[in-house]
Amino acid sequence: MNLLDLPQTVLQDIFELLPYDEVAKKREVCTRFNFICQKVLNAGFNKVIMEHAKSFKRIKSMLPRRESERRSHILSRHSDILTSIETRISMLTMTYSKFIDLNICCFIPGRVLDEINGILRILSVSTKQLRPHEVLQELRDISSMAIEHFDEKIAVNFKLEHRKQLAESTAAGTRLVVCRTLGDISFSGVKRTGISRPVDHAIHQAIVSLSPLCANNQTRPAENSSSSPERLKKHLIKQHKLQKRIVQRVRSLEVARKVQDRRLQEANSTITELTTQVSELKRQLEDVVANMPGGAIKRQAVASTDCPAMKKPKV
Amino acid sequence: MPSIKLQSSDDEIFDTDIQIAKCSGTIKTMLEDCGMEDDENAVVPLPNVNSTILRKVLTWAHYHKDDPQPTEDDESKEKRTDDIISWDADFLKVDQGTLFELILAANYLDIKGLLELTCKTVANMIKGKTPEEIRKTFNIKKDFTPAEEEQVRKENEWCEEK
Repeated sequence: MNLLDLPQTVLQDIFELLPYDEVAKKREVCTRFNFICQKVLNAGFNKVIMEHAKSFKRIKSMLPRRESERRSHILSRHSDILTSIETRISMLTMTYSKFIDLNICCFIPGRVLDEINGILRILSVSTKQLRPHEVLQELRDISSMAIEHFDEKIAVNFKLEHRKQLAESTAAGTRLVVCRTLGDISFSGVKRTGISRPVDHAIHQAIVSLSPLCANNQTRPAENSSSSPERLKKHLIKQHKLQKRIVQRVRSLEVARKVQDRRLQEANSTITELTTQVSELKRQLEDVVANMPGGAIKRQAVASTDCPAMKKPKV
Repeated sequence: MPSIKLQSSDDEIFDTDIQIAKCSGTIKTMLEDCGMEDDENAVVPLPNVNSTILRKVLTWAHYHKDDPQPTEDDESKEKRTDDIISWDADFLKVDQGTLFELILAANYLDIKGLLELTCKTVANMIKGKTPEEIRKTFNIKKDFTPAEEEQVRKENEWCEEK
């Protein structure tokens, strides 16, 4: 009997007992190992998210509700650390989740999961004041390394593939419902306007000029089918030409649409990058605030002087 | 003390103390649902377990009959595989085939403690080994296409120090 003959649930149980870093490395053994380890890693990421939420809830319930008391509370650092982990988790989610959902890859960096679990464990057992910087240093380093590597080396290939799929599906869509895509594409506000509008317009013209032809075809054959078959033929040829022209224009529209798709995707990825940067900045700011004991008090002072001033006009 | 009879796949009958037999979730439900508890001559057939394995399972269950029930809420505790007591370690000094059969039996009979112990043992056999060593240990063939292998290797490259 071989190890691989064991049921999948049991194998998953076995891998659950290993550190996630080892699980990630054992993917290289064979395809079945790879399959099971991927499942374990994805489940591990979900578990980490849940564990974090659970312990954040627990810490929050122990902290006083008043901001001023919270800052000086012995567990305030715990809360700071959990906030930073939350930021890290959302950065990781942004990086991996859409590819995990599409089944293109798994949650690759097992070591990050081990690190987060380690920190959560420290938070759950220790009640003394912790130094956020020390506790979080390793997590920051390795999660940034993982995300950077994924964006630069791994996702690039996925994106190409994904884009191809997307382009194919939209192209098929255009062929099916031409009129809907005409309605869908609004070129206003994009540089393409100059090129695309005439095409759009031309098609409308073509359709308009086509409709009387169709009408003719429907009514006239009844009257003239015997008398003028040649005229009918001419009409048909004309119509055929028109059709060809329309098809050409539809194709050029498709191309324009693909270009737009690509731009949209580029814009999307820029947004993701910017969001990541924003979270990074947010985190740094938190650090600065946390490391500056005077800062919190000052902020409070400002807040307390502001509040009465705001209330006065109401009274 | 009341006892029941367990029948292995190769038709051997094991006269077993009911308390010991009940460490198996499967047997426990079977007894309770079928009202067989008071019947001295009831025979419980276990078509998925042969006599060699069943004997081992019962030996283990006998030794651990006084263990406290595992608590449900231990999800968050650290994953440990080094907390195997020496009796268990000696008990599991068997060949791989027997070990895997024990896992299957523990899984089928729903004996949590034994399943956990055997899984830990296998996890320890996997731990710290390179993929090549694992293939050798468990006699596994590398069935990747070159492209797949390259992809996995590349994905795992992120934490290598340069």
